[in-house]
Amino acid sequence: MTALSLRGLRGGVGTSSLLAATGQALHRLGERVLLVDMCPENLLRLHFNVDVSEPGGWARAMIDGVAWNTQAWDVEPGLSVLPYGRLKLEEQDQIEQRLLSEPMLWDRRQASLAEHFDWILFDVPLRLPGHAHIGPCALRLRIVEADAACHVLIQQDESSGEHLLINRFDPVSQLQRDLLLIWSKQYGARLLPLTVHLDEAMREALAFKKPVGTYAESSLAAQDVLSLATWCLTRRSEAE
Amino acid sequence: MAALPTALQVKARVKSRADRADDIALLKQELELPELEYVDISAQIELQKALNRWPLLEEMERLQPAVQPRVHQADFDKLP
Repeated sequence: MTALSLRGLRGGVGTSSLLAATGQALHRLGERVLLVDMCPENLLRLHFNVDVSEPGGWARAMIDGVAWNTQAWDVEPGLSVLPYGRLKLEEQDQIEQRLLSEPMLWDRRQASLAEHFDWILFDVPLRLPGHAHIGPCALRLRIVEADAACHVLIQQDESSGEHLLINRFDPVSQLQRDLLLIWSKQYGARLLPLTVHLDEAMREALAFKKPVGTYAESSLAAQDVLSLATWCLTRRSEAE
Repeated sequence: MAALPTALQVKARVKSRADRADDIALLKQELELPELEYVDISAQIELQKALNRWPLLEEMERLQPAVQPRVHQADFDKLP
């Protein structure tokens, strides 16, 4: 079992949609995949047609004293999603404190899930360090857009162990082309050798409650994400 | 499920597209001269132009001396 995490460098870079798409692409390539939403926004499930009004999830279960592992949804055989659940702000704080005081919690959970899945994908929030304690993680991707804000934030970022993946890349933009050139020089192998292009299909996919590879299989973004899934498989083979 | 050939080409340590495209790095490897001093002038000029286009990127660059281009575009009027 291999863990993969996606975390935005700033808010709004499309991390949850990209995670949903990557999980679906890995599943399409024959892998057994679990997607775990670590974000209190609780949006990941909507890519897999879970009802908006459905309040359940692993964090909701912890607050309610219910077993966390009964909260996942089977999308298809070999593809499951575990929502965060709907929590009030003070409940989110309780979960954060619990995760900070028990940083090994998701280590144990990962171990109990290992035999059932080839991949566990974590959608990790920005500013909740407790929620980032997801256990051992072989592939950690920082999602960025090729814009000036991300350029500044990358240089301020201290977690240089994470790969950088450019989402919503628009090759028509001079600024984005320039940043791609500069980042290639500056960050070398840390920058993934692929980008996910700007594609309206990615936004439409959430409105359609599907990952982009299911909603628009032949779209540019879906093809890019399939390349990303293949890159993940390559990295796993190299690590073995 | 249709088998995708891309999922299978993973046996050896695969060089990234950027590695493969870097002719100079490949040449250094082939000649066993890793220390060879070589400056890709056209790439450096492109990088400098990219930085010069945007004041914020230029300012950030001054904080990051590591990728400071070593070569600047020649001004032939000033040559002796």
